[in-house]
Amino acid sequence: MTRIADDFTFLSVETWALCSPFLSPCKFTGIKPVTMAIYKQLPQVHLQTKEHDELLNVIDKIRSLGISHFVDLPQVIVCGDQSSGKSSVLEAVSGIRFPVQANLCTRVATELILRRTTETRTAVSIVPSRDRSDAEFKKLEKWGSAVNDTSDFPQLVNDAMAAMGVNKADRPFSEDILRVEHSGPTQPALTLVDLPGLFHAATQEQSTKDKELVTKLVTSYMNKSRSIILAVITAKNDIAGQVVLDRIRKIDPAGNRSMGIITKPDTLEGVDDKERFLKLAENKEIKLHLGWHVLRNRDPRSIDCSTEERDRKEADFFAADIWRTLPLSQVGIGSLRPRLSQILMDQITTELPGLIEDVETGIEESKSRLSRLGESRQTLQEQRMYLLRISQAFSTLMKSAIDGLYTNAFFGDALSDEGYSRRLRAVVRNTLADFAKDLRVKGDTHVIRDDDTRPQDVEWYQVSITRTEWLAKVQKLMSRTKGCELPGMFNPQIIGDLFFEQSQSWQMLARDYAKLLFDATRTTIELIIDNVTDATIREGISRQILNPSMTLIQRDLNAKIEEVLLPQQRGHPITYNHYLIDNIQKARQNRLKDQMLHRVRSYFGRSLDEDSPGTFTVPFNYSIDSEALVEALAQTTEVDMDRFACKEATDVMQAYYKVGRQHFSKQQ
Amino acid sequence: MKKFVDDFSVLAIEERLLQKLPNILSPEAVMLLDDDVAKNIAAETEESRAERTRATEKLQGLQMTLDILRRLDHHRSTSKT
Repeated sequence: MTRIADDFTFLSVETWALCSPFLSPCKFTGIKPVTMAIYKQLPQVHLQTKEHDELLNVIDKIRSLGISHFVDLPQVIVCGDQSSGKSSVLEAVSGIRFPVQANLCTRVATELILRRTTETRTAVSIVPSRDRSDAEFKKLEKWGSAVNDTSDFPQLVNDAMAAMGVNKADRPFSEDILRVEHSGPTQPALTLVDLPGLFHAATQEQSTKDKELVTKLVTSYMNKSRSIILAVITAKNDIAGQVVLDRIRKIDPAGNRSMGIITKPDTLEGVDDKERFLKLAENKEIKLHLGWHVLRNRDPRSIDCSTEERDRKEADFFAADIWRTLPLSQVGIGSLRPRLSQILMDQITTELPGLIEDVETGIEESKSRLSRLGESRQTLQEQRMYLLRISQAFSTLMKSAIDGLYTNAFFGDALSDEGYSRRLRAVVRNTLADFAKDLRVKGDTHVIRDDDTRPQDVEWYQVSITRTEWLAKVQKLMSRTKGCELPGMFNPQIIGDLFFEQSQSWQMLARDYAKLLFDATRTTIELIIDNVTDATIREGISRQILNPSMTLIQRDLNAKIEEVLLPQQRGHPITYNHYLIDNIQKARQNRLKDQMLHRVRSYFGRSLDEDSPGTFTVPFNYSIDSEALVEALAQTTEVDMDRFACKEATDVMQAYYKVGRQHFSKQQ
Repeated sequence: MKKFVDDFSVLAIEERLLQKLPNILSPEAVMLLDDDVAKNIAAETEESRAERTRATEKLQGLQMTLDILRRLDHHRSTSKT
């Protein structure tokens, strides 16, 4: 006895004798011909390595977790036209016989998991399709059955089909997967996915819809880039007419991950036909990277012929005629099993890094989706917790925005428009400054200008009026509100009247600016809400919490503003502000100064409209009559007492206007 | 005018508007909400729940897979002589 390698079985001398013609390693699998001879003689013995098993088990375990739904797993898929002999191929590879119903072919994808163990066992289960209802899914998932005697297997399959509802006329094809785990001492370590047979035209039992369904199913499997396509072709039909080859041309045109199996070579008659298929088998016709294999399976008529007989007939067939030119590694079931195992293992090894990467990507993607969805909000408690969390975030940001503490990342870039809108305190302060300025600059109803000047541009609610016109107006008002005061004095009430008229626009300005500020707060609130919660919640919060609150606040705000405006609209002018006196005196002094300047100039012969009214030169030896000068300065300008009173009243009113009204009790 | 501006700014805008804002959606406000209202606003959609379940299952499955694959990869690279 000779040991060839650690994992090989011991052989008899007779076997060795048969090995001599085969000297060079097979160019397809790299396995030495001696090994081929072993396969040929002892078809039930298969190479197993621990590593091989482990890899395969890992992939199958992953597949059983349902992961093939998320990432493409390396696998071998078996496709072919109907009646291409696909089921016999599977039977030959696996050693178990699938129930073959005449005219009706496999209706679902079948995962065939073959393993080598000491005990023989066959288990059947179902991987339900994702578009089953929850209830159906669970029910089918639970379905499972096992036998130890392979002859009971066909019944198991029929039971599974019944459970899936596949043999009913209205559901001939389904996306459920039938899972068959077959283990025994003579099994290869191999996993195959068998797909329903493709068909050309619709028949009585199978409609166009069925055809489309099958094509769609098979195409989807073929499109997975990590799948090895094992295409089964029958020598009984024309090469060109076989649909599966057409599919391969479209999906894997370079044939990088495809391998072909030719069945029923024994039906070939005529040298031409035989040569054509030989050429195909030699990979000279349709070039596939993984090559071709030829099988001669059990004749369906001789359904009871034993496995040993089948294998012997096959060996005889390939030893004769033109077929014997093909290397042993390419013909017969014995060499097919290890060939497939090796292909699958190579595929797994090559694809492993890419697979790990895909899984990692999938994990990242799931994590980000989960984080986007946020925490669960199914129970009332969870919902309240969530709202609580949002409200805390909202309050914090709102306070920061109001207090002018913009350290949070939420506030973004101050220079951008949006960043500015978030900084509510800044917005409010700037707006109020504008308000104060507007009041100051264009709050007066009457804009008093000096006589002989042109009317300025004023707002629509203002009137440009000369001093003379103004005084005339005041005089008129005064004459109608004369009380008991002496001439030259004025009824204090007139101050109030003048003031109220002058401050008419305040009400309008106040309301306009209040609206601006209110809108600004709304903008900030919306920006904060966008930041602390997501779109689905936002609408509910706005509608049910924010809007009602804001309406109340608006009402309250407007009421307060009217209250603040009230003093401008009626009552007596009251102020304890000492600035009032200052302002009155200042106003009087200014008026006096103007008059003085005017008189000084006219005395010295200059008019007031000169370019540099401050200085003027006096010629040398100019004499000044001091009495005349003082006389000029001390002149009283106003003889008319009423006009005098008007001017005084104006001064007071304007002074009061500046100061405003002093409340002696704090408003609530 | 000065007083008017101050009153407007302080009594109206500051007290009646700005200071009220943090409370429109405060924890206290949330605690006071009716159960129905809270549920109405915050309950997640069936879609969302289903999506979360799917994503969770996918994540668990993939993480298990990654463990398995990493162990395999590690084992293979360390057992190579």
